[in-house]
Amino acid sequence: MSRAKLKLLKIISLISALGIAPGIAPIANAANVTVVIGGLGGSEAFAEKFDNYATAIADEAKRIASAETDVILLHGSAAKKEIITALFDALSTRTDINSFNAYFIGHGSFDGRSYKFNIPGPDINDTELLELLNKVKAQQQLIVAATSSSGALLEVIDTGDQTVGQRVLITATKNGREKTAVLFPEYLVEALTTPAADTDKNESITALEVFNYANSAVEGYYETEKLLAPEHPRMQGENAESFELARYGALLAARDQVPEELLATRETLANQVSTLRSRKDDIDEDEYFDTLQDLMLQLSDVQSQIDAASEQSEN
Amino acid sequence: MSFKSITTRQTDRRNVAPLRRTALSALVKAAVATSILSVAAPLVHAEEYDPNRNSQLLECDQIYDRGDIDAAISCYTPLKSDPSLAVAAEAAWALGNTRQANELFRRAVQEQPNNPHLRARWGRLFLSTHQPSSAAPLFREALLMDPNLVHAKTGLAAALLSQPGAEARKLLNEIASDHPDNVEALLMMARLQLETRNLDQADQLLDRALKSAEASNIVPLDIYALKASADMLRDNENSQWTRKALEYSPAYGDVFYVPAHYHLINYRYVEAVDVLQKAVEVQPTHWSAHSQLGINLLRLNDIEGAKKHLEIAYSGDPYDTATVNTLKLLDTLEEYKDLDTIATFRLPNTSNDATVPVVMRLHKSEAKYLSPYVEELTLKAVATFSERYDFAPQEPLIVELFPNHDDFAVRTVSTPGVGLLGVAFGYLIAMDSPSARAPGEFHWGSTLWHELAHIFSIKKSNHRMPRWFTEGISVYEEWATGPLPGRHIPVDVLQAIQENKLLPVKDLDSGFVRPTYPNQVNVSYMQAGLICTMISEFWGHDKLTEMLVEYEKRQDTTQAVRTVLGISTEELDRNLDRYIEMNLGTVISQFDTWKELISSMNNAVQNKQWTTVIALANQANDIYPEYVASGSTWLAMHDAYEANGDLAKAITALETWFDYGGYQPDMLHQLAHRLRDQGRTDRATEVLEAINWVSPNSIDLHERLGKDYLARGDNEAALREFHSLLGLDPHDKSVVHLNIAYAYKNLNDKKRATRNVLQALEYAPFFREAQDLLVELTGDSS
Repeated sequence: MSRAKLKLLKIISLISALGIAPGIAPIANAANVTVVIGGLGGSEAFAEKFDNYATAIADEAKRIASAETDVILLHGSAAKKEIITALFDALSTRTDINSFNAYFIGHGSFDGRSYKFNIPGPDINDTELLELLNKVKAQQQLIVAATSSSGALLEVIDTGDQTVGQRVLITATKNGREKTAVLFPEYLVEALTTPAADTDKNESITALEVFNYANSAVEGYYETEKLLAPEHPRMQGENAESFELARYGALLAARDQVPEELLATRETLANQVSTLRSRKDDIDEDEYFDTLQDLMLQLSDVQSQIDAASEQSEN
Repeated sequence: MSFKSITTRQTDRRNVAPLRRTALSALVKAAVATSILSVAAPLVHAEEYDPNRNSQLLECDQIYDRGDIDAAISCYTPLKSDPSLAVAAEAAWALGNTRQANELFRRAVQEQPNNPHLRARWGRLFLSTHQPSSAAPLFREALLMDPNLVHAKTGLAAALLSQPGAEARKLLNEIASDHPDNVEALLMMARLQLETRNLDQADQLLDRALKSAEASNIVPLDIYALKASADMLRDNENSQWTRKALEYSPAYGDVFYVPAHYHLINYRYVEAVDVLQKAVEVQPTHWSAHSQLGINLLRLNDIEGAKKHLEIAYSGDPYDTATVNTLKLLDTLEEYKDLDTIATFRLPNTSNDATVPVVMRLHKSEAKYLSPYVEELTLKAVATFSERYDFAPQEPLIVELFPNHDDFAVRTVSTPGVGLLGVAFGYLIAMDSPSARAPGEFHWGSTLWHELAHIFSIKKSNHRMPRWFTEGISVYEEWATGPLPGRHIPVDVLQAIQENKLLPVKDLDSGFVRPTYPNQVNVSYMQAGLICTMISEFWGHDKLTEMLVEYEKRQDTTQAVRTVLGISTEELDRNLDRYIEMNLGTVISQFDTWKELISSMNNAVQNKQWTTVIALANQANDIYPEYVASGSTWLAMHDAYEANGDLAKAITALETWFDYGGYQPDMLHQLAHRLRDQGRTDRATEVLEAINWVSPNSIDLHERLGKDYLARGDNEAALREFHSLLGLDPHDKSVVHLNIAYAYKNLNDKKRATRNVLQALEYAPFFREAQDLLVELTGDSS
């Protein structure tokens, strides 16, 4: 057997072990798939950090995934180009993916023309990365490039291209020239693992909330330390709030047990609140707060029923 | 008008702006602008004293000196094309085209590389454009060629006077000894005497200068201006010398402009503005006077007046950095917000409260989070100092905080890059805001306290106290009543005390105005603080107030000390020695040992030799336990005990450091955290509260403190913290509004509570705790 064939077999067996069977027919229910890739550390300290971040992100994704196998973590020596390529090739065969989330954690570099994600062996450049992402057929796609120089991707990955579904790109830097190691992934993990990021308090943490939290934390760090910020996180694309990345509390424990109509009512009321808020400047202040109060009391009532349903299922 | 628009407008007029006297005045202006820093500026009027002045130029000079500006321009203009590059350079300079003059001097020096006089003149050009560090090498080169070239020596002395150090004085003494009748040297020496109010000595020097000028047919205008300055310092505003100067040259604005400098270095901004107004009246083209007038009107909070005169100054001299910087600052003032409050105070032996308005001028980005603390400390200061100094503020207090240090620096001395923290201009104080520097770099609460104390000492004495006394009172108040416990004396000051570098009290102002060694200003601050503390402890605090009254009666330090304390200044100096011996004797006598212990201890910290660290720290603490700055024994002991696993002792070390006035914010956060772990929440709150006066722009700080205050039922304090927190734009505002709602609910303010809980729900519609509180507040249990 040639060395190339042997390598390919190894890759396929690894990907199978990760829960993806290349060439297997799509399953009926829509899935949310998450891929987390921890890149090359370069030093022991960074390697450990990147592994920890990637693992934490994958763990959080698993908590809300329909199937654990929908979360694929590649890090350390597994995060090689051929393995990553094989993984995306495998994913390209799936037609059941509703939401696809890809995280790239580690060092990135930029030579003035091209971005590279640093991994063991040959790096993946921006064109290759785009090709891989384009292979995945999903209703919506979230790409989180939490690396130095990742802002270079803002000009490469077209978030307006509807042929690949709705796409949101989050980068740790505003361009490729911000080359120093970034703090962003640390706060990204913090956002995913703490209710503090959940600003609307619906026990569900979205990509928008994660970005806002991490961005604000990065800004706050450099501001407080009076340091010139070497990283400026960016988000590109629409409807980042539609990507649910983490969940906690009662909703995490028993979402399936809550009647759909209650969740729908809650959503309707929330939308009404949102509409009211958008008209705030046009309404008399007292009238605004009176209306808001009525809506909130209704929402509170629905929330109590959701809580009761969750508690019942727990018992 | 914005700065951009005047930039466009002014460039067209540049070439026709006159010129010579105005260009000369820039030298004096530099002295004014930097005086607050206690850094001297060039003091000479360069052209006047050139013994080898070309006869054609002299002819033009005479026309100018008699005040006929147009005729002077007509006289100088053709000389710009003179075949002699040196003459052309001088003409260009006289006409205000310093760039052309510089180029011409460069070419002239290339043509005649061995001509020392040319280099001296080129150096004078640099002096006149506020570049003494570029001027000095040219004078030194000239002196290498001709060691006896007095014109270069006086130029070098003027350049060196702009820097701390004793070389300039040494050089001046040398010139005075070799050339006792040199007018320029006599004028420089007279200015030094005027700065420290040695008026009789100044007069003697000026009289000699006058005699020499008459004998040598030198224009006496500068001497008249300094004579008028001496009279003004004696409160004689109708000086005969002013009349003489205006008779000689009716458009001689310097006769007012030069005295203004002495008002300014004595904090008398109102008086300086009056005099500067006269300067621009007699000489409307005195751009430097317009510039200073604008800058000082700004110090008096007359923003429109300031803008008007700065724009006039810019129209005539677009290269004046003070003018340009201040105009730029005026544009940025639009980013500031005025917040009004009222301070209440009660004078001693009265039974009624009085009030005074306070305006807090804060940057819009930080007004919301900072204003509660600025207000709290300012109101407390007004109540404290009005009672302690028996003085009722007569005008609104303006408190400005700048998040950009360079903006503050421009506000203060019209140039960025100075090391000041705060400045008091009468009733207006300006300072760095806490966000202007890295966390812990300065204790902004103490700075604000210090500057507010200045208002009372300056105003109580009607601006007549010496510099050392107002600084002394402010330092004393920092130590005695300020927000930071302890007396903080830097190590380099202790060293200066050990090396007997303290000045006699009657000469102490020179330590501020003309320092002769690098940290002398700082040493003088501490010495002044120690003197005031000693007076308070030995004779009683009220004696400080009585001294202010004596200064207000125009007594000098010798007289005020004699009248109030009944002793001579020499006896006061001896008392200070005794006081230092009593309070700092141990560390001063063992200073070298203490320094070695600290150094060894810090080496042991590096090497993680924790047992050694503890032993050395204990020995050092026996000598000077109050040391809390970088490398403090208490911080080292904390690290050592922590490394040894003895957390209780580690916390005790950190608490001791805190009690002595340690204020490094990360260590305070750590201490608060540890105390909370121990269940000592009240003490933890006390520590967190202390961080507000060092580094208040921390979301975690206000969140924690707010919750602590809420838990202990101090709802007003909780509201302060939560409102401040909102000003920092926290990521999750819903929780903050909910906590505000709780505080209002506890204060039985249901309306505000409901409004805030709804604001919480605006951000987080699914926030259950907020929903529950809303239900509770509205009584809706459906």
